[in-house]
Amino acid sequence: MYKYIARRLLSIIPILLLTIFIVFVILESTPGDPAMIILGRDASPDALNALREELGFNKPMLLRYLDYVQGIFTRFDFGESYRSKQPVFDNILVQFPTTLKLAIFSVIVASIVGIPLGIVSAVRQYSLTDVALTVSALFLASIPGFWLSLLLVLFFSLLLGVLPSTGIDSWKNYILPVATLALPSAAILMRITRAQMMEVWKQDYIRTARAKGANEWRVITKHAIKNALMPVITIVGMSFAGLLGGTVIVELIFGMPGLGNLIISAIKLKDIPIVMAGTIFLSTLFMLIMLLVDLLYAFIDPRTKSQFKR
Amino acid sequence: MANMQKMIRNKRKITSSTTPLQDICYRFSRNKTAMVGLFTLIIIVLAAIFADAISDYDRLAIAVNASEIFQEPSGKHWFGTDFLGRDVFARVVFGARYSLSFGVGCTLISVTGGCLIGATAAYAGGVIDNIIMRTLDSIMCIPPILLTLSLVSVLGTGLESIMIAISLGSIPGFARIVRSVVLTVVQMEYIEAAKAGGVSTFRTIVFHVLPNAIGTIMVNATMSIAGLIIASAALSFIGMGIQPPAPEWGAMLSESTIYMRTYPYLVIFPGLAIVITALSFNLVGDGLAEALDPRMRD
Amino acid sequence: MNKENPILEIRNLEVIYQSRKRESKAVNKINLVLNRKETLGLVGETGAGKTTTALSILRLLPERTARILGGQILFDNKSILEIGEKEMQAIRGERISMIFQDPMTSLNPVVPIGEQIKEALVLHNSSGRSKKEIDDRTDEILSLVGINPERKSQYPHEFSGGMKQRVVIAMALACSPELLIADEPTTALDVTIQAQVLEMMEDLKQRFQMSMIIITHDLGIVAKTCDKVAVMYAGEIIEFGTFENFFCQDNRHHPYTVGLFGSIPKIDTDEERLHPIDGLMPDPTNLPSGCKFHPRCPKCMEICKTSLPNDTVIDGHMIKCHLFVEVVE
Repeated sequence: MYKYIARRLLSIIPILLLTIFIVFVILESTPGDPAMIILGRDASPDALNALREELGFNKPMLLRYLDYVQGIFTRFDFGESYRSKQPVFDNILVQFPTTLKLAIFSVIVASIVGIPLGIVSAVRQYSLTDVALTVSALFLASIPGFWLSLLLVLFFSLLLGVLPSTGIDSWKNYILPVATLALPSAAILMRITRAQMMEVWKQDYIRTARAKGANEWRVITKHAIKNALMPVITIVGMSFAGLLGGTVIVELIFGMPGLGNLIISAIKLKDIPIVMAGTIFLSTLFMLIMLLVDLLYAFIDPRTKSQFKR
Repeated sequence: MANMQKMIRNKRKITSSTTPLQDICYRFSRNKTAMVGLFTLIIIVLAAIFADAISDYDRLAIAVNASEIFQEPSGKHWFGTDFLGRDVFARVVFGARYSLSFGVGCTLISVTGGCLIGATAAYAGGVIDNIIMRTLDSIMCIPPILLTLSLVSVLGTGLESIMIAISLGSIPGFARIVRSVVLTVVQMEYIEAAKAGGVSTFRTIVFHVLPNAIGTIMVNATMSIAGLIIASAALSFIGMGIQPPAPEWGAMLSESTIYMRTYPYLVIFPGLAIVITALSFNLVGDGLAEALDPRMRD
Repeated sequence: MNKENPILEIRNLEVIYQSRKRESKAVNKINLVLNRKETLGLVGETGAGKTTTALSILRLLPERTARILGGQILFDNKSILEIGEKEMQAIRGERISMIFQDPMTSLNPVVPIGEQIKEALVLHNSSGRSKKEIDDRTDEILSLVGINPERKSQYPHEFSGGMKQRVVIAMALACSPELLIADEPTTALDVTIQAQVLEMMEDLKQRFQMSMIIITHDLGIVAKTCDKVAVMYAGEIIEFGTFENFFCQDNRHHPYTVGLFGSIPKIDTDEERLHPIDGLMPDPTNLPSGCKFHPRCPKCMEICKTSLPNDTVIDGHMIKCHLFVEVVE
């Protein structure tokens, strides 16, 4: 088991390096001279040159990439912001908890709503409930998050005045953003749970359970759910990983000081180190979460679990 | 032997009664929600094509009309007018052009890119396959919105740049589908080549592999159009996509947020346009998936 | 023979499957009687309606597509097609059990086998057994089918095909049912294991004093285990009789049965070739007129093409064929 985990951990290192490389190359190609961004338009050519030399911009890109990676792996050094001159990683650590909270709350709400509805939909296949649920899931998946949040703000903040529309002062601030993020995820989870459940529902062992005299409820809870939910766990993990990187627009609309907001404002200010570090940070998290989900899946499935025992 | 022949004859009779394509069309046409989606979609496409006949771009959708600002929806302005007195209905109709071309265009780019990359990886195998696949894995780790934003900041906010920036993130998904389909067939080829030589790989791909893959690709592509329409609108909404005053739905929403308390219709109609367009693509995609799934037969 | 108190009686059972375009007749007005402690062999090709008949008895037909059009099923003199689902659940697993065709897919892959066997005991615990007693009973049944009770916490994938079938049998026997339906219990198994499993089932049947229905397309299995035989073709029972009727004195048989007998290799004859019956089972959505077997029948007469033969019964041996109608008259 440990050997397997270690092997999987090692296997993500090349992908991680490649991801950093891709992000690095894209963002390094951003038009605009970093030296000029830092020093301003009026800086003298000498000063600009000196700064370029100091920051290493005169070196070839590959060398700068290696320096960058070395900095990350040896000192957690993601560089300094062009604007504030502060280490970028500190910035990220300050802003990340908001994003994390948003993602965690959203994935919890999405699972609580989506999975049971998916089960109901599958068990009542082709009934009115099923059709209504399936169509609403598609409908939810077709709503742009930013528009949904506008509507929620319009209704709950502007018209009813019951929920705040910006800030992070209290738990109430999280309700609307979490609703915005959770609803489409719930729709996806519902669709996948339904598909899995329907597949399981057709299996022979479901009939076997019925033949033993088990009632509908018992067949669902004891036999079907366990089989159907194993693949769903992967999707829950993926949703969570996706949500961590998907809060950007919601943070922007609700004025929440999260990582997404930080990255967007950095893009607009061409503060490349922040954008790069933020993107790499979120990509790495995505990778780690997917790995964790994989391991978890292997651990709970008796078919793979018994392989590790040996 | 006679028995065998009879069996073959019987089998032929069964398959010739309905072709798979007819079967799929039949099942699709029986699916009410999918047909609603298809119908809506046709209307939207027609509206986009004949937008000039429905409305007047220069006079209604773009020109500032100070005497008609913030008119509530009425017989004259079905969806009202915005803060510059422009007719929201006209803007929504012309906006369909942006959204449809983004959705369809980006999906075409992704599917083409995905097919090329996926097939190359499957064929080349070995190190090249490995490098391609790991690169795709890496791209998939990057949150799509951040990838798009980074690319836009590099490429600029021109129409083509935005399309490329949006498409890139969905190439890996298609590449994986194509690769797995091609791989299964390439593996089978050893057996097949041994049995019946003389059939070229190209022919196998075109006549045997593609038909298998097309279904999955079609379903994924249709669903992806919906997603990419939303993504492009989102990009414009945060000011990194199509810029105002162009009548793009996301851009229209972005311009209207500050007035939404007093004039909520300004955010309702463009948003509904996005939802209805995306929903009809999703309904069609969902219907296709069900019609193509052999397990759903009968 | 105790004719007054049959354990199971099927009268005029008619089942159809409906799909979007077609309607197929799976079971067409069949009649069956099974006495206590008897074993009935239900024989026929794939698609003859054997499994449908069995599932009808347990009322486990696929809800959306299958429909029982008419007829009655009397289990212990109670019409079980008319009772409520709750009451039916009390019968399933406790009084009637079923062994399904494929042991590979009949077991839940994520539940330990001990749990799966125990389930029926827990569900039908009217005698108020304690947890310990239930566990003991589980162990007992496992040993009965030849599985070490220590393996009860293992999952199905850790067992071989034959062992899985034993688990499935143990599951069906947990509550000592009065009627056991075994749907091709050995088809998925190797020939050597087939014999073992059959022997074991026969043994357990004696021990539990069960009545049994064995569904098979293998007349060899019938010859080894059954007291009575029913041959099904295209949803109808075309011949029904005792073991003796089929395997000993009687020479009168339905031409289809003759074909079936021909299609298993016999050890005591010189002939080594199999006799496959010419042609295929008719399409259940489009059954032939008259006798359903006439397009394949080597002894087909004009009357067979237009008129459905009546059941001809001679000393309890029923044959549904025009060839034998005049014998009685």
